[in-house]
Amino acid sequence: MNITRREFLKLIGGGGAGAVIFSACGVPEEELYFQSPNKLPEDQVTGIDNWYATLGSNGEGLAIRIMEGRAKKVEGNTDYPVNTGSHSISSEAELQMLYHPDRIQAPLVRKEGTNRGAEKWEEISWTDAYKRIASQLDRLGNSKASIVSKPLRGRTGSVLSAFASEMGNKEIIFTAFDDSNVLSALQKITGSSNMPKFDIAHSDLLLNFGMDMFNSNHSEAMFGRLYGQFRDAPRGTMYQIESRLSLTATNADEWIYCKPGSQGLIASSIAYVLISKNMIKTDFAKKLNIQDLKQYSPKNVSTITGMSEEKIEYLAQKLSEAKHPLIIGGDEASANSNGTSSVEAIYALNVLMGNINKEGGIIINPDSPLDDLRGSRFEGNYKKTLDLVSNIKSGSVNSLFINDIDLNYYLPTSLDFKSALSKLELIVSFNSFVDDTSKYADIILPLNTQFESWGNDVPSIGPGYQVVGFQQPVVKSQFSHKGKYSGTKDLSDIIIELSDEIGVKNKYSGKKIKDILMEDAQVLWKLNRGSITAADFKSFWNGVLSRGGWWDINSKVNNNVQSNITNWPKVQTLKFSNVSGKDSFHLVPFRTKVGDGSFAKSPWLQGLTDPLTTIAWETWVEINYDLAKKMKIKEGDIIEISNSNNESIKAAAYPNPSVSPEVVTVPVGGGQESGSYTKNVGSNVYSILDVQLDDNIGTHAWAATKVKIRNTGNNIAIPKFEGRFEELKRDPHNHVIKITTSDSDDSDHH
Amino acid sequence: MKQSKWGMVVDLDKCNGCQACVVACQSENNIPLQKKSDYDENRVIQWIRVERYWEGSFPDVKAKFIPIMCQHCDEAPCEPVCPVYASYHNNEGLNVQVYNRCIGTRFCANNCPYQVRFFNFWEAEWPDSLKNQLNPDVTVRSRGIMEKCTFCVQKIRRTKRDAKVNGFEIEDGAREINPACVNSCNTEALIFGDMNNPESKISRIKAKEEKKDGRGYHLMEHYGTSPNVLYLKKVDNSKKSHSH
Ligand code: SF4
Ligand code: SF4
Repeated sequence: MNITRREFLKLIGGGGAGAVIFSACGVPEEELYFQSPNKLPEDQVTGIDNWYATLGSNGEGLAIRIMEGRAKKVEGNTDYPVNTGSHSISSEAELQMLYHPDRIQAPLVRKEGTNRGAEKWEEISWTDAYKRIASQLDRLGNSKASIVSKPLRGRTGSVLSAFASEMGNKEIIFTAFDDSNVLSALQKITGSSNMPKFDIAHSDLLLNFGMDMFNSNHSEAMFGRLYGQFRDAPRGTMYQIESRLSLTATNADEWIYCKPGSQGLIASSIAYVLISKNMIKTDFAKKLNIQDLKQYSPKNVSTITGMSEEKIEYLAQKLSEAKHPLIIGGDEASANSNGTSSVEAIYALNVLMGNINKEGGIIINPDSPLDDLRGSRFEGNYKKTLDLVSNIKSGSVNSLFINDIDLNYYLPTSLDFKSALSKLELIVSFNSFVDDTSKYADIILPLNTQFESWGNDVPSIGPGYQVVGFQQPVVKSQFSHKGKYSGTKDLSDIIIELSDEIGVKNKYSGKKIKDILMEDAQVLWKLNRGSITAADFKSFWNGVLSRGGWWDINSKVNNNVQSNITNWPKVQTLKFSNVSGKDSFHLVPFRTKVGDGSFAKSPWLQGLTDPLTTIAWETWVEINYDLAKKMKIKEGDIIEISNSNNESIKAAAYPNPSVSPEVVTVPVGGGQESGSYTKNVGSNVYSILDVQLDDNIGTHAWAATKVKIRNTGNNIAIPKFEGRFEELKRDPHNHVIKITTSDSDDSDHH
Repeated sequence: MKQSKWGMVVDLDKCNGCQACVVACQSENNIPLQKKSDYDENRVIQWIRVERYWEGSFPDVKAKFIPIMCQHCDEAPCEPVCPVYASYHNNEGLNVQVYNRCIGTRFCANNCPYQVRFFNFWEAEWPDSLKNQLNPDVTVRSRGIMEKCTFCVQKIRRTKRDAKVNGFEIEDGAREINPACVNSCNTEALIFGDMNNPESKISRIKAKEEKKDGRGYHLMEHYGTSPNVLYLKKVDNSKKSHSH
């Protein structure tokens, strides 16, 4: 067996010694003179701890500290190539998901005679639950069933897809922040269907169009690591172009405001300057016809993008001077009606700069070593979800299986999903919690949480070489004491058992997820290369579990990559709803500490302050400070925000200096109706988003809503950290944050 | 073995405000859940917090972050005011709080210029199931007790014990001994180590950055508290590079 015993492994095995009482060494001698000797648990080291490797739901490799069968602490797995030792807040919060007081402990059926949504449940056995579902489906017909799920990682996703295809291939993946158009643009640009690695660490100039790396679908810890290395000497320079000062934007060397949805035009304009001024000489540059790009000249796009001609030229200049320029984009830049065409133009800049598969550029990720398992992705299908809603309303879908996706929360009020739900004859929910959708279910099949489940994952953004992460249960299922007919289970095992009962068969039938994962591991073992090689399979299997996965740093894509683009992408014109007038604004929703809202259940994350506003436990609306003054809006004023359909939400005003007068921004995550830590917290901005689609591939243009705002005249004290501490006396020589420039001409600003 | 002296470096040019450190600390140290009412009553407890400072206004605006925790001052103003020696300095340079001595006068919090001491106005409460996660190595502080960052002294103790029992040397930067915030830090902005070991990473950074043209400074050093946390200045080239 060939496992390098690196730091992480030491961590895993390090606590194996027996319990020894620590005898107060390290306490100064004077200590003895006092009557109450220093005996804190901090000094009394007792008990044995062990660290086990697994994966987080965001794809991070984790090491979990276990004491007496309980999970105590999460840390990043230092070996795991995605996040190399760090971990993000949501990974830590998985602990609270595991021990959450709201968890469903056994299969639930709606009590006879009660209405859907009344939340009167009865515990039943797994056998009973499967039987009830099968007999209902017998009556309703498999062909009229639909399956909707959040994006799943690794083999669990395959198991659900196989089940869906047996049922007539009606699987719909929904995610509130969809990467589909970024993926499709990248596929065109790189010719590879894998999300590439963005080699931020080795880039000297990062031009980021709207991608909020630090509030991401992907591992935020991975982006944090890359960013930290980017700041090492020689220090890289980062420009962020977007309509909101995101957490990522505020860390850039410069945030450059642009009008919402105009990033594609700016990217094209930069391309125009680079070519017309002969600043670059790459093959793609030679191929392009300058006449096609003329419409994007800085002069032509400056007004519509809100960016000055000089700034566009300045950015082109900087790009041309950089050794390793890197251009990335997504999130807000991809979430308008022209999203796909915008991100195509943004990523085409990389081809123009000739940095595809080059150090500091866009590094192509190789295909997975398991040929039927591709990289996990945050691809949803908004269009199909809309069709689902109308199919339910028309009766062509009569039963619905919902896996851990709170559609009733995420879909805008205008779609009236709740009334669609009432038309269904059978609603089966797979979930660990009762959320705003599963509360309308007829049957809830309770899931194990992340740390109780088996799984694997091909990272959604790989490190440039092959990685297959392995997830193992690090603790026993919380409700295993309820016996094998009750308690919670892994999604894959439930699906396989259920399909057995329904009588649909596929290649996973009769297996357990653990066996399926072992088959994957067999394939990797036979490759006989990479981070773990072993003479026998058992050692290999133990190796992948204790190390958290398998990877091969030599499995890079080395050949010259041929881009599929020959012309400059045409950036489409923007479509917005018809809301105008001086009290009208562009609404930019954004993710914050609770992600897309799914981590709002964690009291740690609810109670954590938003880094920019320092607000916790509330939904706020950010508005330009000076404009707010003019509109007589004070902090804490309750603002009604309404869309073109006159649907509205209320949120507390937070005037701040970073917001454009054209924009208001509201975090997602508030306004959930169920849950101990979510109920009555804030309001739901998803509910007022327009149903505007991306023109090309039908993703949700979630940043394309226009709204009006109105001060209701009510005011609350916003729960926030700011102002919690008395401001320290400002002293011209002793600022709190001291600032310097790279060449050390000190200039403090506080 | 030579006596250790623990210290930390915070590189403000790397910190991106992700707050992984804050949550890691809450998880490791049994920090009470921060309820809405705690915010309303200004009784939020965060041993490490990330402060945000605005600079400029739209469109030329930025927020800058600084993580602040107990600075483990050599000349700690919180120590001499404690009538029962609950706040004292141990021989590894840590400012330690002895919970079972603390009588809750709050003199120390009053005297700490960094506002990193927190008083338990209420008994900390968790739903029963969440208690499973509590760290058995750390006291749950009861009502009336002062608490603050300990540099995760329990990890230092446990690792030293393990090193002694199993006969290994504690490596510089070992994750077993690093405070929880340091291990979680996404950008590697936080570095922890033994300042008495001249070979340690922290000693090398200190040697380089405390020089005249280095980036090192101590928070509010004019108070003469001699902190053991060294901040590295944030780099901002935007002012000199381009005006628009
Ligand atoms: S930072 Fe405050 S609590 Fe910590 S040692 Fe200094 S004075 Fe005491
Ligand atoms: S974890 Fe690191 S980068 Fe994140 S806020 Fe804390 S110090 Fe800053």
